[in-house]
Amino acid sequence: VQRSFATRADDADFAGFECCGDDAAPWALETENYVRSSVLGHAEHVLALRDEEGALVAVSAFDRKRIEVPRAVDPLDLKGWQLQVVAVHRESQRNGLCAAVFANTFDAMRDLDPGRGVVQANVHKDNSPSIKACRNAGLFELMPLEPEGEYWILLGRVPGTTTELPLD
Amino acid sequence: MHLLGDFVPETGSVPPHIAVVELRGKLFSPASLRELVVRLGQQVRAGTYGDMKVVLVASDPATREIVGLLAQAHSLPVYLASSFDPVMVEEAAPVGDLTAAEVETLDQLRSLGGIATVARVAELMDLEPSAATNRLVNVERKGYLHRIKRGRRQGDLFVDPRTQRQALSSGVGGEAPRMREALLDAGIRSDPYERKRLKLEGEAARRAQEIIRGEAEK
Repeated sequence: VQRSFATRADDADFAGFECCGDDAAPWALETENYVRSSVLGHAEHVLALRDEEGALVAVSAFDRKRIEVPRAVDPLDLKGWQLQVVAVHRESQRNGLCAAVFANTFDAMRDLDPGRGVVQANVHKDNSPSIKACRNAGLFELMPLEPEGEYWILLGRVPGTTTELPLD
Repeated sequence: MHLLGDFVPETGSVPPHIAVVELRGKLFSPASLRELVVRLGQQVRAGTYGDMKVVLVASDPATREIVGLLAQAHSLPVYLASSFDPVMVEEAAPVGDLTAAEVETLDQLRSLGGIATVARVAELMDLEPSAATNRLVNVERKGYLHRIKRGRRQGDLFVDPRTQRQALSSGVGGEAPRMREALLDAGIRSDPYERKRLKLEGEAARRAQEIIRGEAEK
């Protein structure tokens, strides 16, 4: 796949993006809606992944994120990223493309700021395919996004970075 | 103020817009800071620059505190940010004459991508439509929101100026699905796009350390 940062010029392709069927779970439908109508105006960094013919086969987006660890002496302030979406076109699913999307996304993160080593993704607790994909990419369940909430925070390290989390 | 007047023509007919004014490169005396903030806030509130909202940016916490006190004392509709960075502008704090319920309403609207109808806000906040209407209209009248008039069936749209990148540039009033619409339709109120700082304490911090060290269970 060919990776590029998306711009408004990609709007038409994004508006027609499909990543789920008619009977999709709400979180899958939300992902499709977000890509089609919101991501280009909402996320800080949007990646478009295209095949050799230029067709849009996947999208990912991420924002800068700060992670605070209140230690006894000095609070730790980690610079990281928040994945807002990883979506593979429905015609390109189940062929291993998801791993390439994560790899390209991590590459882009490192290119933008190699000092940001932590990455967060918020995933619905029943969204097993996404949780599995995240785990394969090195993101693991940390804690619920909010008490009694339905989304979980998954956390991981951007490969190739050297972030540490020294606790007391 | 002369500079703002040079760049922003006084008019009441321009579309909804936002001014981000960075207070730096100049040492403000108390009098000059008061003059700038109060005069600008009063002009924004009076609609001198049309449907314009304002974000004041000051990296100095003391300056932000003073601007906040001035906004409160004079009921000025101002957002305060610590940096010109677009993400920090989106995180700007509303200051001035706002109740806690009105601040909550702004927060909830922002969590919907910064643009929503009364019906959507009422659903998210578990409010009767009339109560949601009152809250949104009060916040809009105080000068913190844009209101895009539409037909009765569609309902007016309320727009948080801090999220203008999305709300005003992606076609206000269109029929495209909005952020979180599919989740809210299914009764899911979590906001997966939430951008606020992640705070890790206790067990969560230890688990994060394990993950970052690559010791998490595969």
